[in-house]
Amino acid sequence: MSILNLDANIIYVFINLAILLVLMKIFLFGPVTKMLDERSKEIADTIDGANAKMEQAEQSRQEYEAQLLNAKKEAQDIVDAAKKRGQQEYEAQLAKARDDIARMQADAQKQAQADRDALLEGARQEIAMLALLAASKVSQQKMNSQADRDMVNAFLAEVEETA
Amino acid sequence: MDIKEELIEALQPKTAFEIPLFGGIPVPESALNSWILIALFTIFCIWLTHGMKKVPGRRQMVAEILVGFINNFCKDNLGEHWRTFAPYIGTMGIYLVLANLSEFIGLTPPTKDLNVTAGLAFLAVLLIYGSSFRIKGLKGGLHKFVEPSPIVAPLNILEIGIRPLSLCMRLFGNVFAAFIIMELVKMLVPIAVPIPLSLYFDAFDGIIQAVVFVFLTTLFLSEAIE
Repeated sequence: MSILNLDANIIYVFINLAILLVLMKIFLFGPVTKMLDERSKEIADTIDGANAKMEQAEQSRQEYEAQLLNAKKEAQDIVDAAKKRGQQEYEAQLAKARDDIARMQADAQKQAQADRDALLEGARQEIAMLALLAASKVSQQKMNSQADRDMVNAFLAEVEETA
Repeated sequence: MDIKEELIEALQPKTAFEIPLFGGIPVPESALNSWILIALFTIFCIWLTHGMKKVPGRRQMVAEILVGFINNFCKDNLGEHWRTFAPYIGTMGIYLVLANLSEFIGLTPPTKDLNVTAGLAFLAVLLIYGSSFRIKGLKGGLHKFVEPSPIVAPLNILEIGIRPLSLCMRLFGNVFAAFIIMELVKMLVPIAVPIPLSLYFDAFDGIIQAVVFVFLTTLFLSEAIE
């Protein structure tokens, strides 16, 4: 064999390379590449999942904020409505109370007027009686005819007018 | 005279043994050494990759760095077809590095045998032109020969022969020369001096040549399939 040998033994190289290729595919490149792919896929999935979750969280946050705002507004509305109703009720009560008081005052006045009128009427009667009695005593005759009574009353009315 | 005979003796490709079939099939030393290297490295790989987990341990890290390096190299150079070629390119690179470094475990480098480098170069060229026709189709593969201009077609055709020859001879020449130098140095000063020289000629140059071989193959391949 010479130093620069190029002969049929080259077939060993092809066989050896093929064997090494198969062995490397089975024991090195196959499993490791698969593992690397799986890992990068898992990482990508995790990142995607995290992004999706963040988006979802952001969406729910906005939803909740909107709901909260809505709820606040509703509560304010309810409070406002209650206040308004309370005010109306108060005013109605007040008006009713005022009416009652006015009516009662009017009644009282009317009553007082009626009492006073009745009293005055009574007094006038009394005075007329007394006047008739006195006049009858003075004139020594009975003065209880209708004509006498009218005369006294007219006199009294004249006195009242001057007083 | 003594040195010359000794050197020639050392440089002869030897037949390791003969398989006693069909009147004896000779097995060259390079093939036997390749088998040893393949067996050792396969055992190493099995040890590295057994019981792989999602969260890698140290062994798995080593395997992932190695494979990731080769995969990324192929991704950068070959683009979308990297999955097809990465195992072959990687196998070639691993084999060359192992072969060129085999001196360190006391084996004659298989790449010192011209058959081995010629075989590797032949396979590389087969891969390059085979992939070109496979991926580009018959027409596209043929069209590659008139690119960038029909004037260079003869050169492109010559390259079919030149590329494997240069790949083969560069590798063989480097390893062979390193082997001769180391043999001479060992004959002259057997102690201490060969260590740094061996580190340069066997380790550094061996790895450089392996990288050059793989890199050129990848370069030609990317050109052929782009």
